[in-house]
Amino acid sequence: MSVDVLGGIDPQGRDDSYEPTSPWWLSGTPLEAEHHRLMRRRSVPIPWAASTADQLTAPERARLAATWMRRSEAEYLAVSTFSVLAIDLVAARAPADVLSLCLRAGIDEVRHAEMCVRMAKIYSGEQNLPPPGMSYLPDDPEAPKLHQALANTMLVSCVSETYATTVLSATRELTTDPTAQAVLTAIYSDEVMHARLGWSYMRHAIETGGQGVIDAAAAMLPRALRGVANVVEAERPVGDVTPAVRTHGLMTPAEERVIFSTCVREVLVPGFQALGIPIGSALEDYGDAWANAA
Amino acid sequence: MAKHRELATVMYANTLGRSSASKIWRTVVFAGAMLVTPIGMGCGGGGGKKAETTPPATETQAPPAADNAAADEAAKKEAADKEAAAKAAEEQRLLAEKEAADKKAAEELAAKEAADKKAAEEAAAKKPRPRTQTKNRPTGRGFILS
Repeated sequence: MSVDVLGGIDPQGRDDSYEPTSPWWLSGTPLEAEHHRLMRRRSVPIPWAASTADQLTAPERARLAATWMRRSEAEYLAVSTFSVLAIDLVAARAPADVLSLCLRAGIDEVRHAEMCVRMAKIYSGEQNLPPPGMSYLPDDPEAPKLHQALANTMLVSCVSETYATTVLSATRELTTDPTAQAVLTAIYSDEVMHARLGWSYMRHAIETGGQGVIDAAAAMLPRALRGVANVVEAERPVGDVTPAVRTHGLMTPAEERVIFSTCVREVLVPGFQALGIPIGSALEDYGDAWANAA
Repeated sequence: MAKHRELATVMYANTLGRSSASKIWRTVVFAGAMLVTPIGMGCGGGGGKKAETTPPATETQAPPAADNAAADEAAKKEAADKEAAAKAAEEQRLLAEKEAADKKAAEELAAKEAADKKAAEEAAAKKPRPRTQTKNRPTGRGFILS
């Protein structure tokens, strides 16, 4: 079955116009050359000089800088998320292709964090870095390793990354600034594979692990959905999302709620049901009442 | 004009995320989980175990009867054969005893190794993830949209 996932974008393609994205974040050692070789594997070239940030007001630039900085923090934490998930998958003796793609996802997140840091600099003029930190994934030593690997894959990949692809896809449609559009597209093209990784592993785990795996997935589902809902409900940086700001890749919190609700109803729940995983009260929890609560 | 804007807003709100959701359903979930194939027929699985067959038992043939004319000779021969057979049977019994003892020792060793392996696997299975954090924290991440 052939599916056009990226609409003509080659996820393995190299960007001949690559330039170091955030050189102030690098080590200053010979490692940099190899780092650039890894970062070069990018689906779309980023026209950094084409940004229209100078047409914005100061408050609009401040709003965008704050959001892109928060994005860099989230992408930076995701590096450790995929690293920890890889440990769980190794412990469960996951298939080799699942392992390689999970580890590659961590590298992708480094690239995303660098891009978001540079976007923040475009709007603020400041060379800031995301704060140090490590993400958390549940660990239950009493649970079978397969169940834990599956449950955390569901949390990270099936729910979080699938939502990310949905929201990125919707945001790209509203974004006209060429630099922001290209950055969002580059991130989106990677996130598609991060999300698909989870759905494929879930299918594999159910085929090999049976009912225990389904029970573990069902137990994780409300927790995974709540985790993303926490992000959607979180407080936002100060400043209005003006029409001009929207063209640089931002939506309002209210719009995000609608997109998450739509994603639960039309993507996540049908997917879990098709795999035989009970969905509990997901539809009620994130239905219209939740979507319109902001 | 204001009404047109209102209408556009309502229409936008009604379709917000719908086309993206539809695209992601097809390209990520449906393709990733191979939903075109029913569960149980996709990846993984394995062939059924082949039925074991038991070889048919062979019938033993009765030895031919002794000749009356050579009864004495035959009796002697029979006695000698009996003695030889008894000796062979004794040797066979000792050999079988030794084999049984060896087999039992091997089984005990295998059982011990299996028990040790199982204990090690159980210990490994209950080992927490390296560098895991004991403090419970909120989980989940999502692309920060605004």
